[in-house]
Amino acid sequence: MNDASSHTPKGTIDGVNGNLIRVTFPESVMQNEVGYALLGDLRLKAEIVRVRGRQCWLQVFEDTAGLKVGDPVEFSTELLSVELGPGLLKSVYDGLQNPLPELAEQCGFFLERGQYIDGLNRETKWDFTPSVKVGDVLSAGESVGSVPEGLFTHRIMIPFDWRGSFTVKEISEALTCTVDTVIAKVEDGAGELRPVKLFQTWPVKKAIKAYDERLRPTENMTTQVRILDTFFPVAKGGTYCIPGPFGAGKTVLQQITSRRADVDIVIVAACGERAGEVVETLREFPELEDPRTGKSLMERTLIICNTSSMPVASREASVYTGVTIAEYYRQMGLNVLMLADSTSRWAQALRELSGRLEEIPGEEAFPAYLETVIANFYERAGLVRLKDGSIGSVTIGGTVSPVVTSRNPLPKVPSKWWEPSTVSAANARINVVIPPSTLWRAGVNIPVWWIPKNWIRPDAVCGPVAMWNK
Amino acid sequence: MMKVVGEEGTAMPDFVQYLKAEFLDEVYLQQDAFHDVDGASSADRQKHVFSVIHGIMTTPLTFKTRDNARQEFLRWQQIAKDWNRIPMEKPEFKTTEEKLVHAVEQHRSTGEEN
Amino acid sequence: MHTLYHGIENIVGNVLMLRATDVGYGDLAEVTFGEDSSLAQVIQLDGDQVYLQIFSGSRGVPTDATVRFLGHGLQVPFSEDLLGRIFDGSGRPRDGRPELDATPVGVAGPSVNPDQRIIPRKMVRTGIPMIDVFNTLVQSQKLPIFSVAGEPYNPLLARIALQAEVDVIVLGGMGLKYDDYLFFRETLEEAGSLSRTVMYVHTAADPTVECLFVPDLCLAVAEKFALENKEVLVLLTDMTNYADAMKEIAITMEKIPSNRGYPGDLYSQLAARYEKAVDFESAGSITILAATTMPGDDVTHPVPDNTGYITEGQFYLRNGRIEPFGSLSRLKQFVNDKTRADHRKIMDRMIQLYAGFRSTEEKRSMGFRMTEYDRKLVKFGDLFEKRLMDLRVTLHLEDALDACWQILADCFEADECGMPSELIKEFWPTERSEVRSKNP
Repeated sequence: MNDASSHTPKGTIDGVNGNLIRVTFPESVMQNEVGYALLGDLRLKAEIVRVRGRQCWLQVFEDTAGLKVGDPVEFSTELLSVELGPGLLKSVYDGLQNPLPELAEQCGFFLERGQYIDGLNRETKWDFTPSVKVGDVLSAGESVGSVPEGLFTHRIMIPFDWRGSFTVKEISEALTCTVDTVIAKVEDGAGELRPVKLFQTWPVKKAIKAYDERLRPTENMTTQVRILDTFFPVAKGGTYCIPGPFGAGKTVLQQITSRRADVDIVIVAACGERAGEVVETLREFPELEDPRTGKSLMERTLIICNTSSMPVASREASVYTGVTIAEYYRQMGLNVLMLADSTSRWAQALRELSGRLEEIPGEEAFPAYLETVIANFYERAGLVRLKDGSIGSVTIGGTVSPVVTSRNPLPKVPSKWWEPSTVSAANARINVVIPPSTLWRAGVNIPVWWIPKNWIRPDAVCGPVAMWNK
Repeated sequence: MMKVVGEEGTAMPDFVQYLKAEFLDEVYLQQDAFHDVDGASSADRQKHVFSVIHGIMTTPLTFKTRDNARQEFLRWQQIAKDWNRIPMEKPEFKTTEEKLVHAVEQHRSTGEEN
Repeated sequence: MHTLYHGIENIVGNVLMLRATDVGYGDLAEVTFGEDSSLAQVIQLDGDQVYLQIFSGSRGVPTDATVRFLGHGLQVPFSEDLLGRIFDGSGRPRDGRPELDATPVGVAGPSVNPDQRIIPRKMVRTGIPMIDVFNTLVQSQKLPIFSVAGEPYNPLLARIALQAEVDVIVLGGMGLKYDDYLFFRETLEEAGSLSRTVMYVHTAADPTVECLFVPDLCLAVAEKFALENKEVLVLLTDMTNYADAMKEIAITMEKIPSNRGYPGDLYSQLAARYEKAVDFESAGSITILAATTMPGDDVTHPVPDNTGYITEGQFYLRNGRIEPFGSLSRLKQFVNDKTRADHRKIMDRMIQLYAGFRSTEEKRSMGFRMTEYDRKLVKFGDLFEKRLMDLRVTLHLEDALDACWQILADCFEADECGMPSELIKEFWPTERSEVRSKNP
C-alpha cells in the first residue's frame, strides 16, 4: 500500500463530471501523473489527462460518487506504472495490476473502490543467483542474475530507464529473498551508487526498448488452428486482429489460441468484455495441462481482467498493462503472445474519455487521435535481438467488434466497418476475418472456423502455403 | 449461383469445382475445437494433411452423374473427417490416408474432361 | 448538514443549476416548490455550481424552489416485505399502500470481482419448450429478447414470471404503456404470483428521468435477495426505452453524441447493468431477461447491437415465435448435459431437421419436384411449429423432450431420423399419435 506522506503535493477538487475531476494544483504537475482523490478514508486512484493553467483534469479509475468540491487530491509524482519482477506469471490482475484473488480475500464478492494491492507479493521468497561480478560494466536491460519462476529463468535486469553504463560495485551472493531486497549496487557515470532490486517499475504507456535491434518477424507462430496456420499464418513478433460480430466466435478463437500457441508466455487481456468468459479461463486453465511442458497451463499464463462493468478508465489502462508485461518478458529472450479482447471496447473507453473532455469528435464521436493510439499500441509488438544476442518476441492479437448484423450469415469482406476495426486492420499486419460461425448453418453446437468459399479457389490455395513451407 | 440455376443447371466441371471447394471447407477449414485431436493440428500435421488435400484439389476428376459426384465427395468427406480425428502416430492415420487417396484415384480422369 | 438552498439559477431540460457547497457527486436532493416536491440527483459539480437532474421533470419548477441535499446517493428500502409490492421509477409505492419502512440500501453498487465468479451450473426452468429444450436459460445468465414492436414480448415475459422455477421475480418496466402495466399486474395477481414478485414500473406517462432508475432499483433489490440465498430472476422491459431515456438526458446535457444520438458510454452503461447477473458461490443468483425492441427490425441499431456484445446470447421473437436459428443461449452447454441423456442430441437433430424443412419450403416455392422425404420434412416442420414453437405451449422439459420424440415418430421411421441407435432404443415412442397434417 502506498502511504500518504505529508510531503505529497496536494491539490483541491474544483469540479466533478462523471469519472473526470477538475483539480486546482499549487506547484507543478506532470501530464499523465497519478493522483489520488481523497474521499474520507478512501483514496481513489486517478490520472492527469489535461492541464490548463493552474487546473488539471484527472480521470478517476473508480466510481466518483460522493466526491465534493474542495476535497483534497494527492499527487504521486509518478506516471501510471506497473511493477515488473518475479511473480507476475499465474497472476490475475485488474487493469491497474491489482491482484483480483487478493482483493477478494480483502473485500469479498465485490470490488470495493479505493482498494489497491501491490502487483507483486512482498512476502514471496525467490532464489536469486548472481551472474555478474564486481567490476563488470552493464547497461539498462542487462541482467545481474536470475531467479527461477516456474518454467522460466527470470532475469533480474538493470532498470530499463537508466541511461549510460553502470559498474557493479556490490553483488549479493546466491540467496533467498523477497522482491524488494537490494541484490546489487551499481555506480553510474556520475559516481553515484544505485540499488538494484528484484523488481522495477515501468510507466505502462511507454514501450520498453532496452534491446539491441528490432528485427523483421520471419518465424511462424503455430496456433494449431488450420485456417490460421495454413492460410493466414501469424508471425512471432507480428500482429493480427480478428474482426467479427457478436456470436462469430472471436473469443473462442482467442481462448483456443491462448491454449495451443507455441509461445513461451501468454498474456490474456480481457478488456471490457463479459466477465463470464474470463471465468472459464480462470477456472479451467489451472486444471488444463500444457502439452508442451506437461505442467498446468496457468504456469505460462497471466490474465488481466477488466471486464465491461469495471471502471472504464482502467479498461483503457488494461491493454497497456498487458503489453508492458509482455515486453518485460521479451527482455528475457522469451516469445510472448498478448491477446486483447477486445480492442473495440478499449477504443470506446477512449471515446468516453474524449467526450467528457469535450474534445472535438471525429467519426462516430471517436477522438481524432484514435488511429495514432491504436498504431502505437500495435507497434509495441515485434521481434528483437537483445543485448546478449538472444531473441525475444511480442505478438499481439486483438479482437474487434464491428457493428455488423449477426443475422446475415455471409457478410461481405469488411469494407465499411467502423473506424477502430479498419484502423486495427491497417495496423495489424495480418487480418483474420471471422464471419458469424456456422452455428446457424449446421444447427449444431460446434464452433468451426470458416471463411467464405469465394475467398479461396481450390487451384490457388497453394500460394500462402508455399511461403509457409519455406 | 447454384441456388438459382440448381445443380442440374451447372456444367459438370463447374460442379466438380464446387464440390472440391466444399470439400476443402468441410475437411480442412472447419475444425472441431472441442475434439482433442482435430482441435489441435500441429504444424507438421498441417503440412502433411494439406499436401494430401492439395493433391486432391488438383486431381482432375470425372464422374458419371452429378448424384454420383456428390455421393463420392460426401463419402470422401466422411473418410477425411475420420482421418482428422486420428492421432498422427497411430497406424490408422496412414491407412485412412491411403483409403482416402485410393478412393479419389478411382475417379481420376484419364482424358480430356475437366 | 442539511442546509436549505433557495433559488435556482438555470433550468435547462430536466436539469437545474444552483449554487451550493459541500455537495457530493451523485447525492440526492429534495426540491420543494409549493405543494410539490421531487427528488433530484447531482450529475455535475463545477466550482460552486451544482447541476441537478430532477426526477419529476422541470415543468412548473420555479426559480425560488427550495433545495435540500440529503447527503447520500440513490437508495432503495429493502426487506422481505417488498414482495408483492409495486413501485414507480423513483421507488414510491404505486399500489396505494404505504411506503416501506425498511433499511435503505444503495443502488448501482460496485461490480462483482471476476475472480469470485463461478462457472454457471444450474438451469432455470421456464416451461417454454423453445427455451428449456433448445436454448436453455441458465442461472446467472443475461439474455435479451430481441423483438420488433408489436411482437408479444410482454405476454412472454409475464408467462416466464408465472412459470419460472425461481424464488423471487423482480420486474422492471421502462416506458411501459399503462395497459401493459395493468396486464402484468392482473396476470400476476390472478395466478397468485404477485406474492413472490416486486415490480418497479415506469410508464410512458411518467417523467423520463424516472425511467433511468428502474434497472438500478431492480438490480439493487435483486442483489440483496441473491445475497440472502434467493434465486432471483430479473425481467426488464423494454431496454430500448431505457437507452432512449439516456439519450434524451445526454442530449439535454449537451454531451457529444456518438451513434444515432446515443451517448458514447451506451455500451458501458448497459454492461454495468447486465453484468449484475451473477451466481454467488455460497449464496443465491441473479438471472436477467430483458426485452429489447429493435426499431425497424434492425439488429444493427445501437441498442440491440451493443446489447448483443454484452449478453450471453439472445432470443429473437419473430412472427409470434422464438426463432430457432438466430436465438442462442451461450451458456446452455453448461447445463444441458445434466438434464436427460437425449437432450443435446435431440436438440441438435430437431434444429437440423427444421433447417431441412425450411430449405424444402424454399424448394417448393421455387416449383421444384418434392420427394417422399421432402413431404416428411414438411409434415415435421408443421408439427414442430404447432406442438413446440407456439408460444402458448407450456411443457415441462421432460415432457417437451418426449414431445420431440413423438414428432419424430409421427413423421419418420426410426432408422431415418438420424438419432443414435442407443437413444432410439430408449426413447422411441411405441405408437404414433393421431395427426392430421395438411398435405402439401
